[in-house]
Amino acid sequence: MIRLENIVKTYSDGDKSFNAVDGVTLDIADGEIYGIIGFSGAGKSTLVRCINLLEMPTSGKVFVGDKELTALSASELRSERKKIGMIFQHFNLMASRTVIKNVIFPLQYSGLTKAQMYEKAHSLLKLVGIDDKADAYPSALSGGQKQRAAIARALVSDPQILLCDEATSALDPQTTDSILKLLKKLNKELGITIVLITHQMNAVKEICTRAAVMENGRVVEENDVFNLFANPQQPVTRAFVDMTSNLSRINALIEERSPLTELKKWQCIMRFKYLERSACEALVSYLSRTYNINLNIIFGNIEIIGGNPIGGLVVIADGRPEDITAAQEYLRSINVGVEVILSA
Amino acid sequence: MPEFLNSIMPNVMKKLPDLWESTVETLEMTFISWAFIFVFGIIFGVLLTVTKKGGLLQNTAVYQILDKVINLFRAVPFIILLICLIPVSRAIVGTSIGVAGAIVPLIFGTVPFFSRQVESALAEVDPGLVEAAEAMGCSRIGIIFRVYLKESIPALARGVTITLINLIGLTAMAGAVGAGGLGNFAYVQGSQRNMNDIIYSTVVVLVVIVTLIQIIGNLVSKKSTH
Ligand SMILES: Nc1ncnc2c1ncn2[C@@H]1O[C@H](COP(=O)(O)OP(=O)(O)OP(=O)(O)O)[C@@H](O)[C@H]1O
Ligand SMILES: [Mg+2]
Repeated sequence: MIRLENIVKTYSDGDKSFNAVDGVTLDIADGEIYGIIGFSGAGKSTLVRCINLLEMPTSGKVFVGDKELTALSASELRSERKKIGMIFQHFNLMASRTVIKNVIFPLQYSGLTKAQMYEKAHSLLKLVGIDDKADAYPSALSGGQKQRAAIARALVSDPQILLCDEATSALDPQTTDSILKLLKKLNKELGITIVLITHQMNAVKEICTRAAVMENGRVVEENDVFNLFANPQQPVTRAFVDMTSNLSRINALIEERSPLTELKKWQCIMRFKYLERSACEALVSYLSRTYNINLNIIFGNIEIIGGNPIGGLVVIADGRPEDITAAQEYLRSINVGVEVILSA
Repeated sequence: MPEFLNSIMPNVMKKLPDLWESTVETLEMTFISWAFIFVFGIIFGVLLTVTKKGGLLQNTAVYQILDKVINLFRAVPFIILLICLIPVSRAIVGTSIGVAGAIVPLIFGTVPFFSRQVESALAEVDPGLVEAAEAMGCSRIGIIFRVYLKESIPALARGVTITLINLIGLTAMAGAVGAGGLGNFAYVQGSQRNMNDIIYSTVVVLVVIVTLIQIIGNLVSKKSTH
């Protein structure tokens, strides 16, 4: 659906020049929800703005559908842009127009009659759940409602693609959640391809099928979301994965010499990590029964990502050393990562 | 009542028709020149906005020239502009005196000011809106009218109000050098003949006009702010 070929975007300021996007190649399939994650300044916005050519890449090619956008004339590009909806962090609704007038804004010269435009806008406002706000001005809406209005506006020309640049970054966690659910619903019901730019790993975790991680203008890692979380390869990716989990907090506790980490004889602190699509069912009770060791869970973080459980546990294990070693071997055999963090 | 008015402003009461005629002349000068000022001011204000660095139709040459010419005209005192533009006025409207003769200098004196007002009103428009409109496939002309101008109506209304009030001040000055209107009336009938009540009467009329414009301007600005 979207293919970026070796996109470079250079900004120059006098004699200094700098690549905000530095040779990115990406393929985004039809119907996907594709995440692009990275810390501030990584070049995410610049990259996504290269998809609809709000930003003209310095070099590289952009294909959307079967058209090469980078080869189109200005007016051809304008009509292609109508097939690519876009929503923004700060919503970008027009304050002088009511919600419904904002939604029909892109329909001018679409050939529809006024009545058809309004009908279409109302049906979209119903779809996003704010039809009762049709005649309100944006200033009277909450952040979540504004983003819903912006989504309705982005969808009104029946686009095949929706680009979301930090669309939930200005919203509280609950509202973020509801907007993400809405995006997922739109993806399912309309089959629209979504590109989600974010620095919130949770957003990626919630709805994306695949994701790319950006750093310094480059895509440093790309994978389906489960593997991205289960086996992060790059330090940035690991930093993002750690942000969503509390399993790394054990290191801080040990550093602080928390009483929790004062171990007695035969005790050790271990971290279990579900690496593959291995279920986590009765692991703890199986270990204690089979190997006669006590397991005290101090952190647990198990989530379902892409339909599979992912995450791990931090436990204090108490048992004879040979039993603990046997248990570790068993865990490795079923592909659970085991790491002894501290032993007495 | 008439006796009372006669006693406090005897000269004005004798010249009421002249006062009325001068008021009409002032309004004529204001609104005829305003029609041109509005059109040119919007055009130049929009041009300044879109040709600026990072603008919709970035064009450094156009921006620099327009910017410098506007600064030049704003730096020249109006009274000097009045004198310098006599030949231009003769060439365009055929005369340099009376209401018609005042129009050209009023336009030259006010367009630069109003262009800046428009420029600063448009600068308040969130660049995000322009970007959103571009992303929707809106044409550049569409963005100018449907985003820049439409979204800045409250700020434009304030700019229009200030400019009109300024313009009325300038018509009075033009009047003093032979263009008719209230300025001329105050100077010729009042000041030169030592009839202070005539001067005061023109002040009262001007205050009323200015207040009305301010009230309407505030109303439009308020009504269009959502
Ligand atoms: N118009 C511009 N001129 C010069 N530099 C720019 C321009 N736009 C972006 N940059 C630079 O390019 C880099 C990438 O910016 P970009 O906005 O794409 O980052 P981002 O990943 O979206 O960050 P954030 O999460 O903060 O939105 C930044 O260092 C930024 O300063
Ligand atoms: Mg950004």
